[in-house]
This record gives sequence, C-alpha cells and structure tokens, in this order.
Amino acid sequence: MANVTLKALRKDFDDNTVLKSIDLEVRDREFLVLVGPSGCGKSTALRLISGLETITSGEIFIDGRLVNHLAPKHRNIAMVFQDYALYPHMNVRENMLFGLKLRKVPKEDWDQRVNKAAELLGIGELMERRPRQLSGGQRQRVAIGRAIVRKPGVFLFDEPLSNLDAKLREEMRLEIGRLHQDIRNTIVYVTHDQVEAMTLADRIAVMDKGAIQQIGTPLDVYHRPANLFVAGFIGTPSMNFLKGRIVKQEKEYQFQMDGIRFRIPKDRLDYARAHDGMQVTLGVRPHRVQLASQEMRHRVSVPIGVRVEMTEQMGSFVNMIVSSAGGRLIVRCPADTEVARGDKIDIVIRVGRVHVFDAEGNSLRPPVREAAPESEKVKWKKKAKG
Amino acid sequence: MEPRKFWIRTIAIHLGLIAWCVVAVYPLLRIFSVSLRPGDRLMSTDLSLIPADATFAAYWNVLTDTNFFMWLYNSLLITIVTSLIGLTIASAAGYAFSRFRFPGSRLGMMALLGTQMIPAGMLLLPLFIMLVKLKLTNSYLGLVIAYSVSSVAFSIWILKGYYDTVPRSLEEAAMVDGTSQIGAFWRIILPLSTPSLAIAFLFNFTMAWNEYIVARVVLQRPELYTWTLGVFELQGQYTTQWGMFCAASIMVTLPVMALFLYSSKWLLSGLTLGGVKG
Amino acid sequence: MMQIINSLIEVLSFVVLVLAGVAVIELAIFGSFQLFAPRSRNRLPIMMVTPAFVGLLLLIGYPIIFEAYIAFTNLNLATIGEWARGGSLQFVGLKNFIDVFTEPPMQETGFFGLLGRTLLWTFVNVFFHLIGGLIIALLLNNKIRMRGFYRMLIIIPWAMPQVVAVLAWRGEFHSQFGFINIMLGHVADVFPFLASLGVGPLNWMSEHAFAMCCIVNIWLGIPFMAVIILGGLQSISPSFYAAAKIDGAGAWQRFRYITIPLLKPVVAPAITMGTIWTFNNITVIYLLTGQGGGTERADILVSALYKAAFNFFRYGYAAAFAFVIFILLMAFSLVWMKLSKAYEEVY
Repeated sequence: MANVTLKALRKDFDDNTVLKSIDLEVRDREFLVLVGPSGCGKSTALRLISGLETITSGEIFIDGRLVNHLAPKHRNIAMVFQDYALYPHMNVRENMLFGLKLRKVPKEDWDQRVNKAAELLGIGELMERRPRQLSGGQRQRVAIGRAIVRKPGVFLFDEPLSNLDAKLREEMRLEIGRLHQDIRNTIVYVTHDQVEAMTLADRIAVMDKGAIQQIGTPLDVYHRPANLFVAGFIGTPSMNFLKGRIVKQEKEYQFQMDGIRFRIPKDRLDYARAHDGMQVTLGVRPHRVQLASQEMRHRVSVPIGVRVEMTEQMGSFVNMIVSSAGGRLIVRCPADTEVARGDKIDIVIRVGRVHVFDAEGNSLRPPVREAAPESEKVKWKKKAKG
Repeated sequence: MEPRKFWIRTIAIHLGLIAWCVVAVYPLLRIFSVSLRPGDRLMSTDLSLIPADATFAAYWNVLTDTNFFMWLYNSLLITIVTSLIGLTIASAAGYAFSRFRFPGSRLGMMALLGTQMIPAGMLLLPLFIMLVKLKLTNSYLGLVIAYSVSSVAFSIWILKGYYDTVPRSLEEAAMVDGTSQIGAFWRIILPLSTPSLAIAFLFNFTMAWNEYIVARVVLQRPELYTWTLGVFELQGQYTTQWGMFCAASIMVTLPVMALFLYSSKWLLSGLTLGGVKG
Repeated sequence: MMQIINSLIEVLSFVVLVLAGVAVIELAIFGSFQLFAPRSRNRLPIMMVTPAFVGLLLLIGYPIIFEAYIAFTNLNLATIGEWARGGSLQFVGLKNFIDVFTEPPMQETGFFGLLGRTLLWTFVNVFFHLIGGLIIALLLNNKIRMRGFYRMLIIIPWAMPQVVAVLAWRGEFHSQFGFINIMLGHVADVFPFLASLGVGPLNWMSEHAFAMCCIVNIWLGIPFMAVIILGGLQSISPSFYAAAKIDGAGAWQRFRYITIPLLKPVVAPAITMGTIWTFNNITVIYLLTGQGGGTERADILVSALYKAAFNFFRYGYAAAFAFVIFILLMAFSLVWMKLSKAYEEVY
C-alpha cells in the first residue's frame, strides 16, 4: 500500500510540452481516475509514474520515496495495459508468475498467490491457455491477475477497458470496482470515458491540455465544475452553454442574452466577483432544461422560444436538439413528449441549477462553505439509508 | 458471373499458371534428365525426360571421383558461421533501431540501405586486395568476412521490421514486472522472435550457400572449394563431366530447394515485413 | 581429417576474436557513458548498434577508402606481389580515371558502350520482372484449385541455387544440343515461312549473348516480383473492389484505379531494390559468358569491372572504374528518389 505524490511534474517530447506542471496527491488505498480527452497527457502522466518515460522536471514520490530516476522495476508498481500486453509465448500461469520469478519471490508462495488471484478473477480454468486462446474479457482478467499476484504498492491502469465491446466493458467496470473494494489498493486509473471515471473513482482528476483542470470526488466534479472544460467534459449529454452577459438590477445579477433575462441565484454566482456588463457563459445540464408546457414546480425563469432540430428517442427519455437565439441546446424530456422536427416550442431553464463561467472559462460559483446543496442532500440521503 | 464465362476464366487462369510452371520447372527437369544419361550419350538432341537407358552412374562418379563431401562441408561451415555472426549482431542492432530514437539512428538506417547500393564488385576488389595483404585468401575467414557484410545489413532490416510489429507494451509490462530494458529484450522479445530469427537465418543461409562470385575470387585452392565452385568446375564445356555436373547439382539443389519451399511461406512474410514494407 | 580440424580451429578462433572485439567495444561504450553521461537513455541503443556498425565500417568503410587509394596507383598483377611483400606502389594521379573513359576495361567495348548496355539491361529486366510478376500474381490471386501447388512451383527459379539454374540454362542455349535451338530448329522445319524470316537455331553464346543473359535473368527474377505483388494484392481489402463494383467500375477500371494505386506502396520499394540489384548483377552474366573464350557482348558495367579486376588483373584501373560506377548509381538513385517522391505527391 502506498501513496503517490507528483510535484510540478513536467514532460516535453522534443519541443512539445505534453505535461505542463502537474501537482497531484494520490492517497493510500485511494482509487484515483485521470480522465480527459485523448492527447490531454493523462497516459503520459501514468507512464511517468511507472517510470516508462523519463520526466523532464519535477518530482515523483511513491510511498514517500523519491523515484524520479528509478527504473520501473524498482518502483513497486504493477500496470495493466490497454492492449493487455500478455506475453504471447507464455500461458496464463507463466504470465502471472513472470513477475514473481523476476522478483525472486520464494517458490512456496507462487501457487498460493496465483490461485488467490485466479479465484478473485474467476480465471482458474484458463491457467494453461495461451493468451491468443482467450477472449478479450478473459485477457483483461489475466492482465489484472498478473498485476495482483505481484502485490505492488500501486496499481496503474492505462485505459484497460477501451479495447472491449460495450457490454463487456460494463461488466469489467463493475468487476474492477468490486476488486478495489476487496483488495483496497492504491489505484491510478487512466481513461477517456467519463462514465468509468464517475463510477469507479474515489476522486477524479480531470485533465486537459497537459494540465489538471480539477480534482475532486465524482459528485464534486459533476456538480461543481471548476471551469468550462470540466463542465463540458463530465456528464452526458454534455452541458449546454449560452453566451451572454450579466447585468446588475438593483441588488441582484441577471443573465441577459438576446432579449431574454433572468435572475441568477446567489448560490450560483459569486456576487463578489461579478460586475455589471460582464461577459459570461451560462451552463445548464440538459435535464435542467424543460419544456414550458411541462408541469413544473421550479418555474422561476422566463420561457425561451426555440425550434426543434432533431429528436433522439432513448427509450426512457428523449433528447431534443433545439436551436435558440443563443445557440444550439440539448433538452432532455420525458419519453412520451410529443414533438416533431421543426416545431416551435418554448423551453425554460431551471435557474437554480445553472453554472456561470467568466470570459476565461472559470467558474463563478461562490466558495463551497456558503452552500453546497447537492452534496449535502446526498450525504443526508446516505445517512437516512444507513 | 454466368457459369460459362466463369469456366472459361478458370481454365484460362489454370493454363496461364501451368505455362509458367512448365517454364519454371523445365531447367530443373532437364538437369535431372541429363544426370540419368549414360556417359556416352551426354551430347544428344534427345528431349525425353527419362532416357531409355537411365543410369545413376553419374551420381556414383560424383560421390567417388570428386571432393563432393568436402565442398559441402566447406559451404556448410562458412554459411553457418556467417549466418550466426550476422544474426547475433543484427538481432541487437535491429532491436535498437526498432525501439529507440538515438543520435544517428536515422542516419544509421539510411547507411544500411546505402550498403545495398554498393556494387558487390566494388567491395570485392579492395576486400580481395586486403585479404591478399593479410594472407587470408584461400582461407575460410576471407569468405566469412566477405559474406558477413551483406548478412548483417540485411538481417538488421528484416529483424527491425519484425520487432516493429511487436507491441512495445510487452516490454513495458516486463519492465514493470521487474526487469530492465535489456532483460525485457532477452526474456520477452527474443523468445517471441524465434520465427523471424529463423527467417533471417534462412535468408542468410541461402544467400551465402548459393554464392559464387565472391567465392571464386577468394578461394583458389580446390580443397577449400565451396560446392558452387566445385559444381562449376565440373561443368567443363560439354565434356563427360556434364553428367556429373547435373548429378551433383541435383544432389545439392533438392535439399536446399525443399528447405526453401517448405519455409517459403514464412520467408515471404518475413521479406515483406522487413525488406519491403520497411 | 586434418583439414576439418584445422578449419574448425580457424573458424572458432575467428568467432572468439569477434566475441572479444564485441566485448571490448561494449565495455568501452559502457564505461564512457558511465563517465560522461550516466543518466543517458542512449546508452543501451548505442551499445546494441555499435558492433554492427563497427563491423560494417571495417568491412565497407575501410575497403572503400582503401579502394580510393588504389584507384590512384598502378596496382596490377605485375605489381601486387611486390606490394604484398611490403613494397610501395607507384602513384599515377588521375590516369586510371581518365583511362576509364578512354580505354575499354577488357578488349572491345568502351565505357559508354557498357553504360548504354547496362541501362538497357536494367530496364529490360526490371520491366519484364514487373510485367511477368504482375501477370502471375494476378493469376494466383484467384480462388482456384491447387493454388498452393502452383505457388510452390512458381518460385522454383528463385529457390534454385543460381549457379545451378544459370548453368542449366547455359546448357539449354548450347547451339547444337540445347533445348532452345532444337525447338527453334523444329519450328523452322515445320513452318518454312517462319524460317525465311530468320527463325531457326541461333548462335546464343556469341552473337546473341546479351539476349540470352536477359532471358535467363528475367526467368530468375520473375518469382520474386510475383511473390511481392501477390502479397500486395492480398493486402488489398475486398471491400474496395465491392465499393468500386457498386460504383459501376468495370474490371479494367478496378485494376487501374484500385489495384495499381494500392499496390504502389508495396511494389515501389521492390522496384527500387530490383533496379539496384539488376544494375549490380554480376552472377548471371559472369556464369554465362565469363569462362575462357567467353564473349564480351553481354557485359554490363559491373561484370566488366569484375572481369577487369579478376580476369585481367588491372586493379588500379578497376578501382577507378568502381568509383565511377558507384557515383553513377548514386546519381541515378538520388534522381529516382526525387522523382518517386514527386510522384507520390501527385497521388
């Protein structure tokens, strides 16, 4: 068990800066997910931790030990690769034993360790097979098994599920989650799939353009995105953005855009940082936008006239893509909503759920202590259940 | 496609292939045919494949009257040593070229390609004169040295091409599992590469085994002759030796060809891998 | 028996020598990296590459420099014995280089005649290798019975040791007993009309030696091309052809607009290599015409070089000749690379 600390980590490939300056603390036994679009530097960060790439500057500590120039084998880590990287000329057992042999683990322990991992992953029957005789899911299990038998301080996962098909991916995701609960090990997990990030992580680090944009629990990141990038990246369908400005009306701020105007509640906009005429981007998640015709308790906003461009029937709900004066929006409606392409309808935004970002894209939400309704609520619910 | 047209097409394809096969195989069959002729009928306008009075006398003569086994031994020794040296050195160098970018790596690969451009005759002359000066003509070494040049350059290309197809994550997994880069090469990549090492070995082997031009220059003492030199000697212009030439050729050619044809599938894939697709 | 033991000792001691050399090199590199750049990631690759390049440098770099030196001396059969015993060589300046262009390397054909023949030789061979290889590959790329069998037979010219194959052909070209003249004689007998056009037994070994060499070398080279092209054909996804069919492309159009362009990346390097190999091919011409009394009519630059050096023992002259050929080849390759790059951009 170990923690991982990155301090001002930087990586250049020739003239190309891939990681600008990463500071990150992965706590002992924590499941930390690095998530971001491809090319954001998340895999590079993982490979720097593993020692497969050399750092340009900065410091990496594993379990309090500076490992900047240690070879991968001395870092007490195990890694699961995107393409599994099972040794094709060894069977499953040999694959799992390879690391033990190299590390001179006493022979008496081999069977016990391998059997335990095999049992944990349900791959007991596959031990004598060669990797090419295994299915994708089985290979993935073996790759994880190979990491487990080593009993490393830190597990590194490099997009382990991205080569699997959708159904299997879901299954393995649950499996990995369960595994972490069983073995309670420190895990750094890289993915581009925000669903994996949300479901698996204790904490998520959202990365973009070689920098960490936000670190927090899944709910934190979802409900309190630190900037436009995080807001747009986390959540499906993506958050809607409307460009406009805020105007001061007596003691409160209002959002204004193409003749539409509505008040922004105090817990959504830090009044201390706002000023009259400020250019802002307003973000609102699709399920916080509703048809004006729908019956609603939260109607605190003016209707916006839009035209329906397309509908996506998802079964349990409909995604409506509508065009407004402020741009294109996605609206999530109940499945039985009857709208057709070209219909002119009115929508309303639940202003209590909007996110406001300044011209640089940073969130204008007031600091946490003032109010954090969602997370409060969740905690309360959990307590109620318990 | 309508059935009749299909049949015509199929027959045309078969005819075309058969035509080439006949042309391809004919010289071999003729050698075989001549090797069976009795000594007094070597000069003949007879075109039948198996002569009426077929005899194995020529084979017997080759085995008893010539240094046939010595030639084979010489060829084998030179060929194996060349291939092994070339392969050992090339397996490491090819790996470095496949996995690393280091100062001079691009230049090195270009230089390797450049060596293919140098006319053999151009290198042969100074090598020969150097061997004369070093008193290495009429020795196995002269030939081993001369062959190693092409063997190394070519093997590096083939092996680099193969290594390029092996995912890097395998070595990375091994390094995380507890070995060094060189350890990963030794424990994972080399064992995985046995098929392509075999391909490269076979290539070097056949190249050196069938070589004539360099051997002719370096070796003049008949007891050092490789089989190509020996067989060429037998082929004095239409003397009685012609039958022995054919018999010896058949005896050398059949095993080598069998090996080549047997391994051709791998050989060819190895060739497209390294030599052509780069 | 003694010979076998001696040979083993000779070869083994060489192997030991090579190993020792490699060990020394590796230690030297390792040591200097430890001293000057202990954290460098280049240490391993450099260590892995160096033995190969030291070898190539010794066996290619040094000989070429040495050859450059010879090219300015009068080294020949008369002087080499003296020189090998430690004597010095006479420096003759650019004489050898001037001689390359003014004096034939053997007895008949001069430099420019050889150059023209070399170009013709290279073009004819590569052209027919390509055409023949393409036809065979296209035929083989069909789902037909006995495909594996054909495939095996088709590469026999390649699988056969060249010495045997070429010498066998030599027999077939014999003016009296060779298969080719016998057949030509029969044809002329049966069709007097053709005979009146000149069809009949020919004097291959002397008058038509160049044609003979071309025929043999084309025969030798077709299987290689066929195999390369077949590999290229099989790597073309059938969906391209399906898409083209749906778009209404006929067989010729599919060949022209799908097969040819998609074969290019596979075939272009093979053509480049094939051109260089053909240009540098000594074996075929030497085996067919190189013996005592052989004709010069088929000689190309490299075979003339070989004969000048090893049949006529004009070492200094041959060295100069080799440099001229090498420079020519380099120039051709550079032009070709430029052209093929320009060509690539068009596509």
